[in-house]
Amino acid sequence: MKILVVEDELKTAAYLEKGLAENGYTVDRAGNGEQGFHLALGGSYDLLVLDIMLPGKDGWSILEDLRRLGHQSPVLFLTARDAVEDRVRGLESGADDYLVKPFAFVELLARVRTLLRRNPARSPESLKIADLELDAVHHKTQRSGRRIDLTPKEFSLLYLLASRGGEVLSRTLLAEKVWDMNFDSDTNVVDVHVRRLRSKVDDAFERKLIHTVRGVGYVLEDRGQS
Amino acid sequence: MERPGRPASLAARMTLWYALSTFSLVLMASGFLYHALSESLAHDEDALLSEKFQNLTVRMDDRTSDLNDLREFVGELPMWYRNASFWTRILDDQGRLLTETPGMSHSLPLALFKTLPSKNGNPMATSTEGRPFRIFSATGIWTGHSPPSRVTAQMAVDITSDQAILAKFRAELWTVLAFAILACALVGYGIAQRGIRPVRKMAETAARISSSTLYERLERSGLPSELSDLAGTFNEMLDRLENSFTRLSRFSSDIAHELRTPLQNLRGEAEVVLTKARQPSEYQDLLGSFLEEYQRLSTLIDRLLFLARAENPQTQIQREEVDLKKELGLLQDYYGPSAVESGVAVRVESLEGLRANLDRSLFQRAVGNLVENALKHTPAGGTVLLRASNGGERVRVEVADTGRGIPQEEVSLVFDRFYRVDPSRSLASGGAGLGLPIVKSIMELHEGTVEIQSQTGRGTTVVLSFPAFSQETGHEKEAGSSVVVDYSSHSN
Repeated sequence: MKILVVEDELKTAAYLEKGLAENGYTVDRAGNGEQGFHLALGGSYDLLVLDIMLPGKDGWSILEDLRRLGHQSPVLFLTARDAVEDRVRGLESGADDYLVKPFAFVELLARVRTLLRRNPARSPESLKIADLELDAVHHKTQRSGRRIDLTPKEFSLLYLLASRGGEVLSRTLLAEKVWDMNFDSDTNVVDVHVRRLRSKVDDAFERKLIHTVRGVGYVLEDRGQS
Repeated sequence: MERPGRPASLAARMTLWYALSTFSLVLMASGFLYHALSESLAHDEDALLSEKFQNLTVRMDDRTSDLNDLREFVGELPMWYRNASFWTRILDDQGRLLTETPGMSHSLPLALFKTLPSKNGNPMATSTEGRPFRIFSATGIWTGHSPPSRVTAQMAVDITSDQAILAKFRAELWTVLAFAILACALVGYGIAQRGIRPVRKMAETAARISSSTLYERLERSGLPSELSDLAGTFNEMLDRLENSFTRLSRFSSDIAHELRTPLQNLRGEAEVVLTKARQPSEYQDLLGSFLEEYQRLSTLIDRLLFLARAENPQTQIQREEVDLKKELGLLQDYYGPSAVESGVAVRVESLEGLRANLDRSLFQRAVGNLVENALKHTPAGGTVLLRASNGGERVRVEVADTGRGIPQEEVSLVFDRFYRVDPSRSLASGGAGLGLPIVKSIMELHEGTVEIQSQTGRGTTVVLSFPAFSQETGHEKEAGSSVVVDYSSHSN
């Protein structure tokens, strides 16, 4: 998958390129609007990550011109301005998503994945990772054949981590998706929930599946023997 | 609309009005006096003429009076009465001259006497020589003639000296008026200045008060009652300003503290780790710690930004209809495990079907902040109760805990940004101190209020009260214009 990053701030552009490349994408960079626009025209990219505030041609006009010329590739806007007018304007101009700086890199990654997904998001009815099995229809969980009793919310949390297995999910995302909490609560609250989940799902087993990525969030994956 | 007058122009206006009004009085008095004198003199002149005519009619009534008597009456020479020469002419019933004071035809010809008297008295006329006269004309019966015939008497008195008196009086009055203009102006100026003086003094004191001398107040003793009230109000305003200033200074130093602490950690940790080569895992730990501090700073900045935006009167919120019992239940689910770890129970009490039009994420934030505060300050064994009720058009949401409580004198201060009940501002006992100000802002955005009832040692109850359904319409979630940022940037 080819991604074009148009960002004039050097450090930002550099880490975006590095991060995306390490996650398996091919990344090109442009440091100003004109350059970005020309690359986009010629390059057939699967996704454009556009900063709005650019010297020369700004993000808005790049997008408008591309759309006018018939380019349909998805666009993700980045900006330090978070007024909702800007967000609405962006979406109306044909952008597919919008991220406000500073953002967590995992956030960007998640959105990039979503935008590049060819099929609509699947919610599989059953999941299996290592010896963990989840039955979404009956809300049943087991590991190595042993049944684990989880509350509805605990199941939702586990299911979310498992369905996005390998992807680090931030505490903010977890709070929103599992508990429908849409504000910056004390992150410790999520930690407590995860601790409880771990005590039921991981503690009794040698192979730990739920991992903490310090400063970023949690990820569920099989890392072999811990 | 008049522009507010500075003391100078107010004094000028007062001076003008005082001067004009006193001068008008002097003018009117002068006019009256002059008129009185003039009338009095004219009256005397009329009286003299009448008297002389009376004398004549008496004489003519005598059967023995003949032309010589008349001639005698009229006199060889103009007769002088009180310094005024007196002239008489007598005409017969055909208008022919019978006798007259010598020289009268020349000085006061017949033509002069054509003017009829008005009700104001006898008319005036000027002699050929240019002297002023008051003239009189009447008819009488001369019984001394046979047969008795009707005669016309024309009389005139020289009023030069009376006119001179009036002229002199006029001149004196003009002098008086001239002085009066000056005097009234000066007196007016003096009065105005005197009256303005306390205002000037107040203005001087006020001009001196600046941010470094905010403790100064206006002197109230010795001021007239109206200005005393004004000074009192002004002093109260200074009290409020001084108060705000103090709070602002404290705010600045608090913000510096809150920003410095994470920066201190970042720097210190990096410096220590970099002093020698470390294991990769140590560097990973360090970077992880950095991320945590970044998060702390970032959250702080976002919260400050939120507060700043909420203050902007243009800000509007995205309302949707929510079920309060359900919302409180979600919060209970979320905070439950954390509460259990602290040994505290979270309960919800709410009527079924209680609905309101709110910005959901802001509401969660407000109640969430309150719950977090409650959990921090409630010891093991306590309870945090979330209660929703309604009264008429308003909804009440309460977060009540059985915790440490807030001292009475601090209750009004806790809504100040960065205020912490714990003066050491330790992280263990609380956050940056923005939670309650944010709750207050959120309530204000919802046209609601927040109140704290607290007793140290017993617990604290925070009551949120807001209209269930706002009068504003049309701010449903789909409409996108000029809406405050919903805090999380997740849109899917």
